[in-house]
Amino acid sequence: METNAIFRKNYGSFRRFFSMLGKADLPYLWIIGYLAASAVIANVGVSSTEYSAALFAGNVGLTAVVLPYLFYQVLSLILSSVSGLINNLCTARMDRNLRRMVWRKTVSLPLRFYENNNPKELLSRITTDISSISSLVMKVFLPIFTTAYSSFVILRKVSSYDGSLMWSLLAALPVNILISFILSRLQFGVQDLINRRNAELTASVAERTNNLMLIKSMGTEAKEAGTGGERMKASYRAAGMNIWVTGMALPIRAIASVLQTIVIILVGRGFYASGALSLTEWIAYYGFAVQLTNILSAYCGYWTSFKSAQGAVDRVSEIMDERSEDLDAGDAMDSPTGGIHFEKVAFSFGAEPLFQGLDLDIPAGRITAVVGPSGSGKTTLLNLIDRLYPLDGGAIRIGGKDTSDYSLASFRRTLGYVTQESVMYAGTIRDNLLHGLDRKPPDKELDDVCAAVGILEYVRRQPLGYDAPVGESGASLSGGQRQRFSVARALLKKPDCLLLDEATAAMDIGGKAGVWASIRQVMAGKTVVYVAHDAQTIRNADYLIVLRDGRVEAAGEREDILASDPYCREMMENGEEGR
Amino acid sequence: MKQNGRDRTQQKEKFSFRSYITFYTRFPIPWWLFIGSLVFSLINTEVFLAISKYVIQINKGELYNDVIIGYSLLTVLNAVIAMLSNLCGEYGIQKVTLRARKLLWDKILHLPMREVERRQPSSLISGVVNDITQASSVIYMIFSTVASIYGFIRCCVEMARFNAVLSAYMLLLVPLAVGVFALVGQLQYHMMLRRYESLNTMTEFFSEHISAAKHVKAQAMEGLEIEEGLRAIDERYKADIYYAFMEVLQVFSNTLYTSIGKVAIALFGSDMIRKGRMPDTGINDFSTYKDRVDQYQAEVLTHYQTLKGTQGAMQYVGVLLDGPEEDPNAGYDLPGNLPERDIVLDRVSFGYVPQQPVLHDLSLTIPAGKTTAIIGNNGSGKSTLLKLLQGIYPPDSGRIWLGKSAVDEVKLAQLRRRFGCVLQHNPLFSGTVRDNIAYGETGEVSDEAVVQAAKLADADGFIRQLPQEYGSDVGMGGALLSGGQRQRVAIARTLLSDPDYLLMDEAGASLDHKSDMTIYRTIREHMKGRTIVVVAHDMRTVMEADHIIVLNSGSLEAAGTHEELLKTSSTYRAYLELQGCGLAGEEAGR
Repeated sequence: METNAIFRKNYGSFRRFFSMLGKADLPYLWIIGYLAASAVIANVGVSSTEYSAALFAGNVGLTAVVLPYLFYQVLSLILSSVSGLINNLCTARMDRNLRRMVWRKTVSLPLRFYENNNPKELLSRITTDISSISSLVMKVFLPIFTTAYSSFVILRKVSSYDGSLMWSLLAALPVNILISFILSRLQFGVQDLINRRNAELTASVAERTNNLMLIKSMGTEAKEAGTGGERMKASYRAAGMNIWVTGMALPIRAIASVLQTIVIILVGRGFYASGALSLTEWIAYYGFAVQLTNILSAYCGYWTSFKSAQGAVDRVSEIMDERSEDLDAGDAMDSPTGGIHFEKVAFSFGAEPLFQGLDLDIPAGRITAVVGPSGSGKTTLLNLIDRLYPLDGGAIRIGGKDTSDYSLASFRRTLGYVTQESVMYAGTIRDNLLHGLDRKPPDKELDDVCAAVGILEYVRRQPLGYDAPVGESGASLSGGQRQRFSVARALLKKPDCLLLDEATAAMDIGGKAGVWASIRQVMAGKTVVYVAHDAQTIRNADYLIVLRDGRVEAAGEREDILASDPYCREMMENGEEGR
Repeated sequence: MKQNGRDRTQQKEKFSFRSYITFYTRFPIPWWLFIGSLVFSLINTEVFLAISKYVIQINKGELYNDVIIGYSLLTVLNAVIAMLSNLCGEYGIQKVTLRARKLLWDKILHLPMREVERRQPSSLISGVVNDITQASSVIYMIFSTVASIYGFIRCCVEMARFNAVLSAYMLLLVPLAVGVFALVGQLQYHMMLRRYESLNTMTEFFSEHISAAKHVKAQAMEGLEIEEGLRAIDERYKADIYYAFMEVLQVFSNTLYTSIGKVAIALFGSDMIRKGRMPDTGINDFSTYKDRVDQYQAEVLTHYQTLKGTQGAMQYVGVLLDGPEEDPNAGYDLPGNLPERDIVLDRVSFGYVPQQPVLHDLSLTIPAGKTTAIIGNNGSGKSTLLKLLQGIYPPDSGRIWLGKSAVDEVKLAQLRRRFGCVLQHNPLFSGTVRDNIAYGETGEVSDEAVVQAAKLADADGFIRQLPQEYGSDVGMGGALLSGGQRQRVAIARTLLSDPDYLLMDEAGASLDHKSDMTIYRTIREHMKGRTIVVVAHDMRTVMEADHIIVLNSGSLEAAGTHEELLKTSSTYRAYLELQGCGLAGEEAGR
């Protein structure tokens, strides 16, 4: 029962693996080239071994032995370089093609997918997982053919000396191969343990080193030195196990190879003594036996890496099996004019329903604030307007037309949405402002928009101005500055409808006021919907919607709601009543 | 990462040979293991040579029983001795690694904050994880190199004994070997650097862009995203292609060297055999010795290469260990009556970068036993001020006093224990909720104390709903909790340490306003009679404070009570106005 399940699981993973490789546009020509080069090398190797055996035996005829020997030396030097090059290029192309495939797929996946997966893990699918898949192909799958062919060529040569010699060689091999398989498996297991321990150590060290300020502030240096020491010891113990396994492997391998050598010599000795083998042939035969063992043991060593690559294969093929968003199906949206209307909208995260038959209206051409306690669904509301999640039921209409009739790409492009995270990319200030913009505005326009969000002075202070780099993810900027650039970027798009999710939360009191004055001016007559949780920001709205637990608690003109709704009243007056 | 590289080259200049020596004087070295390893290696050279004699015989077809037995026994013996040698050496490395790693970790924990920022956490992490293992292998590498050189010489002697003339020809190849080796080393360096850099660039790109997925979707920028991603992938591909050619060139040079050796032996050897200066099967004998010589030569060169490779790591670790550190227990004891002491800043200046002062000649008093609020624009130095109070950074000039004790003269450990600090985002460490709340305590903490602290921080409620209550895992950095939950746990953690001075920097920003106010008031109640310093953007919190300080670009603009500031500070009035607090007050007045 159980073995059957395991078998089925493995079978499934193989099938997914090959179906994934099928989609990946592999460099087939290069692969064939590599296989061909390997085949030629196998044959050259045999001739080269024979001539060197002749030399060893003392046949030193210049044209009969020495010159052909030299020729094969040079030939195998060149061929092995060429095949090494093809192998490397093959791996590089495979890496690139697989990465392209996975990245195209990843970008097309819906937002839910990103939320359900750890970004670090998604990252490693594109970087390390892909590398282990291509090395699986190059080191495990293709060598099935090359190893089989080289073994065949060698055995054919040996059988040309004497058939029974070949059979005795074949009989002596399995023990050695088995041992080398077991040992590699064991070493792989221990290496895996070491990797896990090291990963734990790295994670723990990273978590602490990134937060040294906390450790200092809590005065827990001694405690951390102690726990760190424990992890280091665990890592040490794993390394110790590895030392023993690797150490013990040496004599075990030696015994296995000695046993095999004894068999080979005992068999060969009879033929050599009876004169069936010449000295040259004996030396060649002995050399072939050693070569064959080496080739096959090396392959067994690689085969054990299959297990580690299996995880990578599963993770990548999982991505490939996800459903993509279809960005272009539907009508093209021109301009979102008119009010936004929610009609019996249902939406849930997993089993927990958030909105159940939500009805609400957002007026056109005005500024609407969405407020409510955390967890009431404010951000989700904006995400649904921008169609980042599909609805479970109901409809959202803009200007009377169901938004799901429009194609996703055209729809999202016409709406401006400044998310909570205020995204910046490594690059210059200009790159970041113009990111995703399909026109090239003059510097004058950039100046205007930067002045509007109060960041122009900062830009002017940079020696490189708009060409100043912002660092990875905008690392050189403060939270408030990042938010200002995000708003500026959204304003440059001149959207007819703008969604803002706590887009000014990190700005100081004066800054917030300035940015909101600009938004009001630039977006005059257009629809703005924003999420806010502080009293200052709420005052910029014309219209207010109060959400609580996925329901509309109140909606209406700002002054009315501020006066009547208990949540808003409390929020605005809290400071006063405490005094 | 690039910055990191620059950092290291700068250190190269500062590095002295002394660091090499002092690194190994900081902890006990298991010399007996390394010496044991060396002795086993030297013995093994002889066994190895003895095996060679049998191999030669086998290749000559002298397949007698005693040859087979001798070959078999010696081969096994050789493996056993090699095992012993490796066990000793590897255990030596691991012991050194463990000791050095603990030492380095302790050092990192005590680095001054500015040093941490200058070096960047990522490079410190790789210091503890990677660099230290490299640095620790240096002694073993030196011993192994000695053993390999011995083996090389022994085999050369043996080879020369067999045929001096042909050996002399081989000597002519030595310059070639050195040349090839130098070339390969150079190639290796460039290859690895380019590969490493391209991998970093690609990883940076994808890590940045994957976490920005929502932004991309919201703007429908998938097309651009794919295009940029493909470009990043192609950059890596170009580096891979470069690597492909360079690696082959490297392998080619190595093989070329051995091939030339073989060709030379074949040409000269066959000539000598024809002229009767060497026995018929001489090439067999000579090649066997030559193989051994090559093997040892390769070992010497690899060891040398590795040794050279460890240089950077050694420097990094050495310079780090030599660098400045904080001693939490140096200085005077803090007096017991701290809660009664005002915090006084006397002409304090501070900047993260020279020439860009954040605090400028700042003098102010934070009264004891009261709640003080600090307000000001982004970048006015509010958060920096709080860090200076706890001694996280020393001021560039001026002094901070707790009553009559100067902050720079008291024991840092004691000082920081008396201060509690809650920031806008507080990291948690992976572990249980309980572990995190009790994080700052050194001894055993009772369950009641933990629950009590959690209740004060309004955290008890949600913790009880977690699957394992206080034993639930919070995930890496607290990732399994929501922002608000993390914040409550962090507040509980700070309250449990029962500080005399509580510093709160935008502590309520990730809570909704109601919980923020509830928690804030509970804390004030709990801390009654002790000092609280609050940095806040929310004027309702500010208005509740006993004392308010207005900072402007690192200087004091105004200080006083709400009523006083209403009269004296226009900034303060403007802030109230903007948040509608003043308006609400007027309306109430009307």
